[in-house]
Amino acid sequence: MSERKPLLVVVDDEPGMLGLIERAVQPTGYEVKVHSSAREALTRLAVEPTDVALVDLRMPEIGGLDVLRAVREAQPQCQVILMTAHASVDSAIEAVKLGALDYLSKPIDFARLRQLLAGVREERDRRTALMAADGETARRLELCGMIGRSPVMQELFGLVRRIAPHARAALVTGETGTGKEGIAKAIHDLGPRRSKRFLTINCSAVVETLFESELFGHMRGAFTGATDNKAGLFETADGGTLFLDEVGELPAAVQAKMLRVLETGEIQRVGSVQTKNVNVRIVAATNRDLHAEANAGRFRSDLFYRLNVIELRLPPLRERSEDISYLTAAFIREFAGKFRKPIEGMRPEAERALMTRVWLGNVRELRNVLERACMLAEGRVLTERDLYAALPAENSVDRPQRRALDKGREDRTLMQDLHIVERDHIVRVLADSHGNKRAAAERLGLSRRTLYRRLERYHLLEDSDRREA
Amino acid sequence: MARLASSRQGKGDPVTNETEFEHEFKNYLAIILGYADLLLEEMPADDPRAEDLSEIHKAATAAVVLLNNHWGPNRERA
Repeated sequence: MSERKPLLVVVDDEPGMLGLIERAVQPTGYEVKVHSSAREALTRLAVEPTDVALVDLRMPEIGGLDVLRAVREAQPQCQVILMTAHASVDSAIEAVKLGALDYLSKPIDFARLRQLLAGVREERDRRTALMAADGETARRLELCGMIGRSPVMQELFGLVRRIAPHARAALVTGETGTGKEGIAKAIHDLGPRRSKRFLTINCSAVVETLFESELFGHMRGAFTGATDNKAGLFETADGGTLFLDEVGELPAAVQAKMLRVLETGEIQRVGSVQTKNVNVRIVAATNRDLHAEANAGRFRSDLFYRLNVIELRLPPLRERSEDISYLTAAFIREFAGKFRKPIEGMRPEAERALMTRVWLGNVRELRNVLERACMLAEGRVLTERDLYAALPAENSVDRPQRRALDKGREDRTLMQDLHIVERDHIVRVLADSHGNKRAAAERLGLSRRTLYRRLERYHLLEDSDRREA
Repeated sequence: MARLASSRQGKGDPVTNETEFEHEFKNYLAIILGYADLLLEEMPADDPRAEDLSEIHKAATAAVVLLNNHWGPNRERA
């Protein structure tokens, strides 16, 4: 951003004057765009960030003062210098009242003009430096790479920082794509165990019969296929952190054993009579309402209370929409770097579209969409078109839907609930099928093509899948 | 400030009144003066053509002063 030359737009109905000024300001290092029509100039000034507009006061159709008013309205940070062949006190006063930087009479004093431009440039550089400092602040507001300036996220980050040194167990809750694993990792990285292992097990992805062996290990010959002694995740993570993703999917039998480990700190490999002491911090995550699950008897309530020593609730993106612009900026930076493209930002309309969209897949979905948009983009600035090319066709910008969402969960439309249920179900079945889409499609009773379409809709497609499909 | 709605539509149209005339005239003088200024800036001081350019510059400046004196620099425009 700071590498962009400052932009000067010159508006004068006399083309000879435009050529002259363009030459005269060459040494100032500004990029110069000239317009002999005020109307044309206003079209540009409405969209292109401009540092200085040098405008003739007296032009047919639209006068300099009107241009000045329009610019103050459209981009207040743009400085306007008026010039005129008839200096009149009244128009000079009016111009200054409207916020013009200066008022030059023709013939133009180039030294004065260059001085003004240099001044604006200095001010701009100072602001850029400030922005960079602001970026520093942003990094301080981050938590292990997670971005959240909204009060809810700052509160959550504060809680994570406070509990990380002490907590033996924590429960991270939040919808899909809100960043539960990120929080779990942050708890690990900020705690005394950061040099030890951080292991993840996705409880919905393990075959039920293998759970015990996965978690606690087994002895040779304990069951068919157990050809060796094997340490489980608890033993391997000893001294570190074990992250139990989708803990709500834990089979009942394993829940009981897990509870025992948490209470006694002892594990027993499958097929062994000996117990071992382990010291493992457990961070569990779920997108279900585990409390309700416990009340309904689907999840052991004693285990729930063990895990839920501290609950860290990740808000869905719609509850912190003020973060969208920061997240967007960070993701664009990330992907511009990754794809080696000179993308600097996003057009305001495109950003508005992001703000008004319903992000069922939360931050992960936003990230995926921006990744695709950056991949497809050709210019320096992401446009609405780039964005729509990256978004799935249905449920793009839907204000009523969003309003309904803003009123709260209970007001959500049936269709959205269905989407969430369908999406979660597909994710679960896919995980159960170890990512095998043919198998998942079969289990879901869908054709492979239909499954791919659904995956596309919910942003679950990897790029390799796209080629495959 | 009132603007002339009937401002010059195209460059070839006849100039309709004195104010317009002054505006146009001064604009052209400003262009002449401006280029003379730039060339003088870029030219080494000992360039023999600098003297000629200075003459152009002087004459154009005199024309601007003449215009200003004739109409008055701060006269209110209709």
